[in-house]
Amino acid sequence: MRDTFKIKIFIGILAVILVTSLVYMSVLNPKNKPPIRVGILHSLSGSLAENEKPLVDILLMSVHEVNTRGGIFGRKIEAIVADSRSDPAHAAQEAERLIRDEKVNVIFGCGTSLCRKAIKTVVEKYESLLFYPLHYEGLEQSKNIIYTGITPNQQIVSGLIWSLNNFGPRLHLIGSDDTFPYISNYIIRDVANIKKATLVAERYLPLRSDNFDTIIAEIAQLQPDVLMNSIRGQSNKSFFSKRYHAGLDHIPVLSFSITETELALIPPGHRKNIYAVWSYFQSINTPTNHIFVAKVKKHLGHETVISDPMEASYIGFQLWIQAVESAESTNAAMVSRAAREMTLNAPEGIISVDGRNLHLSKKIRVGRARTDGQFDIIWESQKNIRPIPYPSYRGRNQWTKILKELSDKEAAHEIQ
Amino acid sequence: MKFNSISIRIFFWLMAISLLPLILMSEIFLAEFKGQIQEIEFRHLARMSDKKIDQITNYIYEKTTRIEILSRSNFIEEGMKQLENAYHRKDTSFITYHYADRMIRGQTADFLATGYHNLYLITTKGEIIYAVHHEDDFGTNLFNGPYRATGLAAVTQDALASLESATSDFRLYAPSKEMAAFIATPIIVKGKLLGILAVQIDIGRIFDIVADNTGLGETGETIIAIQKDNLMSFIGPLKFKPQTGAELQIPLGSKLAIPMQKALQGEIGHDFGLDYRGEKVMAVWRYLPTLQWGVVVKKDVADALSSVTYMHELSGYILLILFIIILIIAYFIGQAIIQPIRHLTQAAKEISAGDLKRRVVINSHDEVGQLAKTFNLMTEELQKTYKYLMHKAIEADQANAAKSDFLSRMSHELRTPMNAILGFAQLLELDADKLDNTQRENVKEILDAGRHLLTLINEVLDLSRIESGKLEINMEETSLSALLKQSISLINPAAEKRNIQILTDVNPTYVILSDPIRLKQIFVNLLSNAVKYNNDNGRITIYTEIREGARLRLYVADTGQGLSHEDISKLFTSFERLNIKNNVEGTGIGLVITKNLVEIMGGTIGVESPPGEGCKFWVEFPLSR
Repeated sequence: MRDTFKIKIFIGILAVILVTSLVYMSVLNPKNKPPIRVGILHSLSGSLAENEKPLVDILLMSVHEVNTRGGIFGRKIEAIVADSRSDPAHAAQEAERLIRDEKVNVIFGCGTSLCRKAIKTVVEKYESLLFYPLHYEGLEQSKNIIYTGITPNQQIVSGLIWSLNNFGPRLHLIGSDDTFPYISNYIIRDVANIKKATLVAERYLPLRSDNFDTIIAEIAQLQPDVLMNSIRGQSNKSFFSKRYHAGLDHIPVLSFSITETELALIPPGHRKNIYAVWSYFQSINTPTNHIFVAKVKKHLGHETVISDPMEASYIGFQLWIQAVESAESTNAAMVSRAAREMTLNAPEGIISVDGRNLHLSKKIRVGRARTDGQFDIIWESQKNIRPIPYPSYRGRNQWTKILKELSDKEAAHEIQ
Repeated sequence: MKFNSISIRIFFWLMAISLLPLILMSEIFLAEFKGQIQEIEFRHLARMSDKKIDQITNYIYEKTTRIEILSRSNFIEEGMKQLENAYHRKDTSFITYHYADRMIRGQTADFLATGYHNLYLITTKGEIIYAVHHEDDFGTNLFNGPYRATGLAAVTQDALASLESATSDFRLYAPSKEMAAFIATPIIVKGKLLGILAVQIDIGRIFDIVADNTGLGETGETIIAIQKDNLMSFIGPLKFKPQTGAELQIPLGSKLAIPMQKALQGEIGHDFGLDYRGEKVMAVWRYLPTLQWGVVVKKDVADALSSVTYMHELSGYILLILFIIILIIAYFIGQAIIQPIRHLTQAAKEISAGDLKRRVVINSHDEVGQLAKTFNLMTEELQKTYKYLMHKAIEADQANAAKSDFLSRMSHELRTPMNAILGFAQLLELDADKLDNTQRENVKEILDAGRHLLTLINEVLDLSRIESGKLEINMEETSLSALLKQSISLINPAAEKRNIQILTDVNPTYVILSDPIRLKQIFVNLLSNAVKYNNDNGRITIYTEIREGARLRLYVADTGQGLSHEDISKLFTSFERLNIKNNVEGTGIGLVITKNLVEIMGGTIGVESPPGEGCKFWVEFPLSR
């Protein structure tokens, strides 16, 4: 009789423990919390799809990474991917749909200035938040956009001054018929004047055109000290091919739109004397970057190359997470306020958000292309360079005027 | 689990049911509370660190913006041009220089008053051509002169390289003989770079912001450090380390100051850790990008969680008080239950000691009350049964007494005519010569039969007396051998008739305590059995043995047929006669009486019968001497 009594006691205690732990766990159970929705808006189709797909992949990888850690405040992140179809009007539509219907708290996205400007109106209207990862021409600022790519004062000015110290004062500018080349060349001209360098030529090529013959002939004739290249996309491949075949690859080319992704499309033999200016190169030799590269390769494939925009997308997402955790809210205004002066130990080094203009302070590096598709980093700024979307040597009103002039010029070209 | 008292059991279970869950609950709540307080403290520290970083950053931004504005003013543009001209003529005493100098001095001096220590104009080649306060650096070249490793030189280079304002780190600036920081901005007019406008900012204000520990309590402080190669170099006053002049430096990778190590990697976070003293602290860390500072706001854990400690102590006291209260309650409840039970126990004791009139008075209606009622009923029954049994015992005694009376009267009644028969037969015997042979035989027969009957009557009387417990014995010291001789002489005739030898080996000094008459009866019984059941020409041996405990055993051994085990077990029961032979007489009562007599006298009796060796009867008495 003693034994059955003991067994009863034992079962009783067990039952109490079981009930207590069930109650405890259900009270603290995070499964009841709804997910946080984020929007990813990039070109999944159209001419820009090939460039923008890696950005989507890396964002999805980041989402997965956070969710594996348990999410934010015990809530998982749910990513809604939308296709901007390489078209600004459609991008704006999709942005609106994401914010209004899908109820996303933030959008990571878009790959061109035109798309961005279209989305800018939407996010400002709905008081939402956009993270834009591409380098761009600056001359813009919004309290609803955090720009994680580099600005002209970071990319163009640093690159140019480095070039003047290394190559010589005779500059030949070539670019696509687009806002970014227009403005970057404008800035190059400003700085060249200050630094007493010469612009021997300034040529623009319609987008997607391959007709470089005139340009190549001019280069051969003028023999500049350095070519400043802001040709965008596929056209670079045929340009460098033509350059190689014309025997002009002894003239260094400082490119502002060539990352590891574009370099991969240029045959190894044509890669001589190609330089690029970015904050991030895959070949950055720090433990933090090695871990990042390994992570991306594991997730996206061993053949993956990582470009500056890809890393900028990644750090944009990390900054957002940090800001949400700091603000303890997903409200766009609170997140963007919390993001001010926020720092991050990014793969490229320590970066910080400049609270005055919501751009990032970063180190700038100059890389020389290698035959294996990566860049040797041959110069690195000593400190982080602050982002100045409106270069200080002109007033903001002046810049707005110049921007309008150039946009009109571009529109005129398009009509032609 | 064995409990010696209900009080203890109640106490144990009360503890288990009330105090244990309470302790469990209070522990859970305290843990939650601790978690909450931790969160609140961390949040508080984070707010403070955010605020300070904001303040310092805004201070720098503000200072920068003002000189950016200043750099675009006309008098700066004019002054720069003129001063450069005069400087290149290497003639600082020249009147042009003085004129230019005086033109801008007034305005720049006013500007200084708004929070700067010095203002410089520097050419694109690095020459300091103007300063509000002339120190050793004035007129030197920052690119190749003696101060080319200073913060001022670095910031000038940065501004020239980026065409934007630049801020330097905090460094000892030799010409000012103190820690200094600089901001430089390019002077660009109409697309032309004229030079650099640089200022030395008042960093005291920044240290004030850092050192302001309001809201951080007794042990809270803000600490800043920069990274110098592989070392963390701590800037500014530390609460717990006196100013020794030398900067505190801790290598990266140390176990100490991990929050600062993380801060210097650009991370934002909070955690528990060890500070530069090695003490446990709650710390929040951030990186200040404008000055490349690691900023940690920390507070000693003990200080931060003092309210938790207090709650813990409070709950400890409360639980202690509860414990004592439960102890007391358990005792009283226990007593309330125990009292009636004790009454019952006491009553049972008294009843078992013989007081059957004892009843228990318990007024409760619970299980114990029921028990008391039933107990009383049981005692009632017990009492009745006892009376009945007493009654029966008295009856039995009376019956026994009646029987004994009857027996003794009967034997008396029987003996009287018996004695008459024997007497007259003896008279006839005396006149034997007047009788013929047949008559003499007849008389003999009458006498034998008569004596036999008398023996029987005596035996029956003895037995009845023994059974009714009325046998009287008188114990005295008896000489064993003497009594034996007497007994032997009585059965000798019978033994000689069958030619049976009697051998004795008994120490004449042996004395035992016994009733001699009865002892003789015993010996006679044993000896006559030894003769009866012996073979013709057999032998009877009598010998002694001293047994353990000073006891004397007397053996009477015969050479007869012996007895089987079965027989031995029936031996001492009345009336069964074993090994009946035609010519053996006896009632079978003899051994029964012998056994009783032996036992009444404090002895023991037994028999051994090894096969083929006859019987060995023994009696054992304590030896008196």
